[in-house]
Amino acid sequence: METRKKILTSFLLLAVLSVSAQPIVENRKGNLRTQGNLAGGYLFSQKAAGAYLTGDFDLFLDEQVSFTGSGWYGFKVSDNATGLIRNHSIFSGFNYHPVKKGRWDPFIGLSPGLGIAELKYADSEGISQSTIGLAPLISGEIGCNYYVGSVFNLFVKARGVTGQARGDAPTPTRLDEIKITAGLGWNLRLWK
Amino acid sequence: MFYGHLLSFKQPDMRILIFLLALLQFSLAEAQNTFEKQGGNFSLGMRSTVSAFSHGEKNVGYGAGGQFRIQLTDRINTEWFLDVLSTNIENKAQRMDYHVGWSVMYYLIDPRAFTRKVTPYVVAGHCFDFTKISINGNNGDAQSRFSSAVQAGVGFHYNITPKLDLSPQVQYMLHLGKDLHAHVTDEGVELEEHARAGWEGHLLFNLSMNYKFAQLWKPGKKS
Repeated sequence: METRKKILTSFLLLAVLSVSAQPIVENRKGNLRTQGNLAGGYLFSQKAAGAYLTGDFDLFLDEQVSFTGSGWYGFKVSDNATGLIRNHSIFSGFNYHPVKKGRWDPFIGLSPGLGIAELKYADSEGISQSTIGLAPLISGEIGCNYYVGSVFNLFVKARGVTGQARGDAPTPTRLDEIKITAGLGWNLRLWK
Repeated sequence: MFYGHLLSFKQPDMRILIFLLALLQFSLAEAQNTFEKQGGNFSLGMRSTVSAFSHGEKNVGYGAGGQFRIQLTDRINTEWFLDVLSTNIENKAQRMDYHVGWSVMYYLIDPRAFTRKVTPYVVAGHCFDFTKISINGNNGDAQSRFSSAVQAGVGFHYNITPKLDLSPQVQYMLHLGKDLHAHVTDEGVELEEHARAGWEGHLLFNLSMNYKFAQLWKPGKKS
């Protein structure tokens, strides 16, 4: 049993050391960091959790600046007869990466977007109507990448969103939310 | 003769002379710090906008959009923008404003190739806009109009790097032509169109992040 523990510990240590020994992206300029993932969110006005299929990219224009874009496909928010049913969005902007080199890559950015919300409401006849509301969104994000090697990275990021959608509904629906995602991303060199 | 005249300076004259010499030395030191000329810079950026009030109504609108900038000289930049604003009018109607326009920015201090952390500026320009106000509800009344507007304000670049800036800006946008607004009463909402817009418009707060992608032409180095 003791021997097995030692072997397991040795393998674990070897795995950690080998990860650290892998070469990482030396020059970020020209590098595309991308990922596709499941993500969660919390809608403040609805007091409800959101679930998303999301994809995003960071295209490094220089060592400290990336052009970023992301898309969020929202799964059903709630089973309520009225209110916000689905909440999709796209964002685009720039991220600033204060640490130029190394495995750790914290970042912060401003990336406004457009929300596409599916809303249901009851009119005077009590019938639930469905409508699509488009909404300009104010948004920023903060996060950190960890470059495991030249191909993979681990990341965690949080995005704050504010805005309102209405469509044909009698009252607007707030889309204030924090979205969080984490996982494994890819690095792709596009130019040197 | 000259030295004799110099020696005959009174105390206040000497102070002026020393001040002028110090100014000359400062100017020479400034001249030695040469920076690349900035004419031709092409930037792209995304903007978030908050409209503090619209046409005298205390309703807050939220907007998003983008812009590009083409810098003409070290001190003069131009901004070409497109944005969309959504304003909830007292939970009874919704106003959508779409703007496409341009502004000229004048830097109040020499940006020194944006190596200074802060570059304040004044900005003024013109835009075309489309406004649509719709009363809430499935069969709510709606009216729209095209018009143009002028805008002016102040802002500053916070130069995170010489190529990347965060730019807070506040502008007053004055609509020209017809005024369209929702008149909210206890009985309901009425959409009204007036021949003259008057002095009412939006107070817009913009926050944008911009990156200088390229220099479209090379104006040469400062001598």
